[in-house]
Amino acid sequence: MLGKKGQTFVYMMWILRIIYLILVVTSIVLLIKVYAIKDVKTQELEATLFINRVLQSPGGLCYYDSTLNRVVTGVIDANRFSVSHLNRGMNYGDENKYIAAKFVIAPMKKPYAPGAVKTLMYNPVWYDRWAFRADTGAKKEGGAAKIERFFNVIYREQGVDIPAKLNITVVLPNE
Amino acid sequence: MGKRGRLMIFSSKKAGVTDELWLVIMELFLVVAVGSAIFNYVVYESSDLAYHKRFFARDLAYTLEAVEGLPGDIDFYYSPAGKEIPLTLSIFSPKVMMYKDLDDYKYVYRYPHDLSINPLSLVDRDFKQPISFSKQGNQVTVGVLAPLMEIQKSIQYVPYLTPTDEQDPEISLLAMYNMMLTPLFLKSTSPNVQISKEYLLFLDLYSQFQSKSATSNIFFYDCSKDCAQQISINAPYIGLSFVETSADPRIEIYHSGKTPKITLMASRLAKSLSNNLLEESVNFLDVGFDFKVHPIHAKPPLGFATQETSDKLISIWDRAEAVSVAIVVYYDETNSITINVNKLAPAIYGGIEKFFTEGTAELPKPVCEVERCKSLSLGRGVAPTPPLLGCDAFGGLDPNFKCADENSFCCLQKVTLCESENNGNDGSESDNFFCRVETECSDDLQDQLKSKIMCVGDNICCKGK
Repeated sequence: MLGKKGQTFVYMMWILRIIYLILVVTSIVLLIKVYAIKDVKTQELEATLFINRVLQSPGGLCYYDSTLNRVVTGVIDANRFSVSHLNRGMNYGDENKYIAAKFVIAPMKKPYAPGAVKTLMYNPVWYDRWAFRADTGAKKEGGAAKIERFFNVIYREQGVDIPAKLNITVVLPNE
Repeated sequence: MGKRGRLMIFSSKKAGVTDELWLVIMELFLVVAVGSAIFNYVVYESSDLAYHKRFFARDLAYTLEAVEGLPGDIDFYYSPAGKEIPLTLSIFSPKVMMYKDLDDYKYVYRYPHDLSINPLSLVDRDFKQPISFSKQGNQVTVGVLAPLMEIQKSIQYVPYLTPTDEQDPEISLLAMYNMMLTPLFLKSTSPNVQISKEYLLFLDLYSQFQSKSATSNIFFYDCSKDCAQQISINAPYIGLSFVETSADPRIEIYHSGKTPKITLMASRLAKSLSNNLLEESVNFLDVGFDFKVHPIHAKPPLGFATQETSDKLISIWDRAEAVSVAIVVYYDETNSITINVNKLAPAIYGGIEKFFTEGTAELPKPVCEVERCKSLSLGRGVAPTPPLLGCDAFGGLDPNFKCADENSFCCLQKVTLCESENNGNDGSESDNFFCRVETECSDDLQDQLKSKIMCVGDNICCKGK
């Protein structure tokens, strides 16, 4: 028979042994979870969907003919080139931690007149954070992806059509 | 083992033996439980069903967003690669899509919601069959195509996501190629027919777009009488004919067939249309509708609206060199089917977008006219000039064209070949270089360039006698 001191020592050893066992089992589970890749990288696809939506949907930036219920894709409407309009057409809820974008539209003809280059920021707070992370090139969580596209468009302002180049930069966090 | 049998070991009075045994059993139980759970998890994750469910759910989420963001109305049909996948899909609140897997909801995708579009209500819906996405005005609905299965079985669905390789899966979404920022060659032929109101609006819209779009390559032709008189396509092309006669309604896709890329893109356009125009296809199916892809040289099929017009078009398209897409619409007086242009347009753009984004990269540059080609050897033995410098006097280099002669470069303006040797010399005609018959040239060899590149025919560039 063990004395009281001896029994206490044995029980303490049990606790240590169980903790050790749990650690080993948890490590194995984590290793398996980490190496079981279930998701594919679809950031570029998601960015393209976002851009297509901004340029095509009735809630986007392009001129919309309500009579025909058609969007004239390729014609950017100056009245729609605003944050409030974009937030309405691309609503992610109260807090958007999914996607951010910058739109820069510049006339084809140079030199530019003052104020001719327009910039529109969508979700600007997270854009700055993710753009910085994307530039670091971090691939895993904590990093971000930056996708850039150029389009030749018509910028329609007060009935005047101006040939312009639209540069869209989309940033998304790595999942 | 003791006197009372095996269980004695659990009540041993030896110090700590029983407790030790219970501990080992507990450890074994824990290891077996965790091990079997991991085993089940790995087996399920590596199974085809889990894989397909995950990709199918994600692809549906992307498709839904693409449909919701389209410029007009659309009915869109989707099939999960010919497999029946039991999937319970849910959309919450209404921006997050999730699916049920192992009695647990798993996050798929969070998509933006247009506040002017009615939220899609879709809770716990099983998708085992082809799915329809429909956007009509500001209403988006998702349904299952059970009643139409019998009719549609002969149509090959094009899955957007085909998980073929578990190591490196690729997602391709056809619906996202609906960008209308690419060159579009649009023309219509309407011999003796009433064009539907919708289609007129469609044409009108794009004629406006074309006339105001200085930077795009969109060309509009209203060929109400004779299209061949107005068209001057100088390009390999893809042409679509929407032939709507009561006897033989069909859509035909022609292509010049000059490059493998054109052929490939024509077939992709056909697939795009077969997905997007399914409603029309269903109508056509009753009379044996099918998509056809064949070269323009094929004899126009029976029912082709006007033989004369199509022959003219063929002869014009046959000389095509640059890149363009032609959309030809034929209507018949007895037409009883109306193409819904709100569905037609995205379908066509989808194919055309792919055609231009993927089709132009490898296409050869069109050939520059001889008059605009600047030869490097024009300088009478002088070392070749850089192409840009050589074209400077003729409006600069035209990067979009290529001269037949590899040693020449295409300039924006006509190169005044022989006359350019005069360098602004205002002397008499005999003092200047001109293209002449050799017998009329000065005998002084210094005054003869003898370069046929600089003259047309057998003439040579020289000063007169």
